[in-house]
Amino acid sequence: MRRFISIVIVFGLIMFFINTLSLLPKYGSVNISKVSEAYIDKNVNGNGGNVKYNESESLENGAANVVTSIVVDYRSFDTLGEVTVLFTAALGVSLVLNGIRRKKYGRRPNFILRVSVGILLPLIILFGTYIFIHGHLTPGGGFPGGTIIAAGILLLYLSNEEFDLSKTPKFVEGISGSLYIVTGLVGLAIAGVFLINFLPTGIVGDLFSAGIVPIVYILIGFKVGAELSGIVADLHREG
Amino acid sequence: MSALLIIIPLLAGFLFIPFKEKAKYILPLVVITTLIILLLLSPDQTNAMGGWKAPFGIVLVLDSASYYSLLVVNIVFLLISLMPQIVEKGYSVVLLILLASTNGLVLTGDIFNSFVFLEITAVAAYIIAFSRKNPYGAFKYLILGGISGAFYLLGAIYAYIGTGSLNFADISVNIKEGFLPIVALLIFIGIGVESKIFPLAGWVPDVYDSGSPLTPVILGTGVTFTIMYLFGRIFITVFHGYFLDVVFIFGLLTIVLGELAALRQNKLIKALAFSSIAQAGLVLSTISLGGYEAIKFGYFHLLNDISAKLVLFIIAATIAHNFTENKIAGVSFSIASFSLIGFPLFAGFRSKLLILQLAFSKDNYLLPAVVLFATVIEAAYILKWNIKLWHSTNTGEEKQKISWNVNLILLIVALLIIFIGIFPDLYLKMAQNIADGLTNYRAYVTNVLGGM
Repeated sequence: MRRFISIVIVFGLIMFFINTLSLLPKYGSVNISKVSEAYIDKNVNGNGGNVKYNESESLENGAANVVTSIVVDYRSFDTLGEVTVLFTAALGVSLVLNGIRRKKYGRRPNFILRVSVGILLPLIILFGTYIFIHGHLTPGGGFPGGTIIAAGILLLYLSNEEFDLSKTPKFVEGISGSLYIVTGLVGLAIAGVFLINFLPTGIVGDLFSAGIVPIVYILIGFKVGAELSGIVADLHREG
Repeated sequence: MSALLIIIPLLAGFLFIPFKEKAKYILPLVVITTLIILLLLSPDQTNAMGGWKAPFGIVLVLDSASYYSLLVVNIVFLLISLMPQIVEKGYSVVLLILLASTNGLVLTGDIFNSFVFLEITAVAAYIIAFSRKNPYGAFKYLILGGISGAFYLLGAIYAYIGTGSLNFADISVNIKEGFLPIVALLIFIGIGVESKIFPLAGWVPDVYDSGSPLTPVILGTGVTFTIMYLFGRIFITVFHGYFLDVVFIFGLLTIVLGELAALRQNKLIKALAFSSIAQAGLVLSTISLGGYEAIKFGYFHLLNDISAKLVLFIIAATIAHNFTENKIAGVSFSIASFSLIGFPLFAGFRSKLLILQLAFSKDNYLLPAVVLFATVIEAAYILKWNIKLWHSTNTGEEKQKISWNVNLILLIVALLIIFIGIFPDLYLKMAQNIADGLTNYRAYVTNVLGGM
């Protein structure tokens, strides 16, 4: 009986979604909405328009990467929320696994793993750092960059059983998260608006451009890296 | 400036993550700070985050509805923060995050932003729901909540396709023909899990019976109120009452099935959890009657319900053996439970009477019939539990004492319930302000989008 009801519900949902397909625009012929258009032209406040790479200066938003301009500037408040979701999830993992003793395998990892960690780890961390520092110019940003760094930490855990981060991730995530909010509060103090871009935006495409966007993305990179490393550390402890 | 209500708890949460155990000292201070800021703010202001104006960026809307909802939610958090005994070690940080997200959920004027805050609320709720004795309940909640979150997100996406922006006010004015039913259905499924409506409320008894008093108290009062506010904001302000007929039917089903299930329980906290489901159904179906008065009485009943549930859940989760040794707690419990049934002189009587009068004046006989039927069942099991708890002898189990501050707060809330039962103006005024803000579509749109 239960299985029958589930099948009916799933079938109903499939029919519902098939019916809604007719409302969606055809592939390749989407009319860009007014909001998307304003984001792409950097024209929300009405003084943007024709954006040229390496030429346009002092736009309302200076990020060359459109996705970044939306994620960290136009809808930065959402990103603060998403960072908090990850933060809460990491907190949940540490609270749920609290008090479980770390299991020791008592076995040395093999030679290839030990040696390759020494070579790969600097490269991984450098790559992760590059990804989040250049988040406003190229695809990437704080979330992928932080994840890459956490992958490096995972490698450290796998190659050395004595390795332990202890409380470092907690301090890093707490401080970088607070600095993100403080950046927003500075905007509130200067211009009376939370999370406003109070620095000059420079020329589109320069490394030092886009005002607070790169700063925020670096903070997010540290925060995400620390949170995921914390999750890795907590899960690794589970015996 | 209304962003401060979200940011201060969030900042405190971030700063205290390395010292989780110390966070319980900061929690009351943070809640008092947000309450003071709230009292200093004046209603009717919109704040654009990052300085991007309404349909483009995210706005926080503080109108009379969100102002009074924030007041209720923050007072609930204040009461809980003054009872550190019921908060488990390290969970104060979770409460700080939950406070930030519920404040955000009430303030936001953007559908995707509300999804983000709903996610934070849900993740914090999963953590609070978890306990080692009862991992299955939390897991069930996690799965249901995750799927419903996906539906909410789909609803937001369809709203974006149909409108071209994510702003509540813009959606209410500009949504294209044909999109409204899809968005309404998806969002109804999306908040159905948190608002405890019938087919999606299966997680409630398992989660509320997690063993910690914090779980049912915070989920059944603060979070429930926030979700009911969000329901009103979306279905009344944005959709102008569209889809409420369907909600009405589901609400009635929720009342009947919730009360019948509550009658069959032989554990007090599970009975109360089912009663909480039924009350949510009553609030939703009253709001769904449509019209200003219905919304006002719906929120009035919700206020009465959360006041009663605050007392009931704490006592049910701490001492569920007998009252002869904890007379003050017993008296508070009895007062709150009588208010739940709706005895005259208690707060619940006022709201149930108003709802019945309203339904009769609208020639709706289905709701009164269901409410009266539910009240009879409710009276049966509430009286049974009262008699059982007052007359049981000590079975030799270890005595759990309630400390004086918990007792005092519970007694104050219980006396407030009697006060509301005699002079209901205080709660009625709050409910009236919430209903004012929710039904005043035109003022909301002009507030957010500017003169249009």
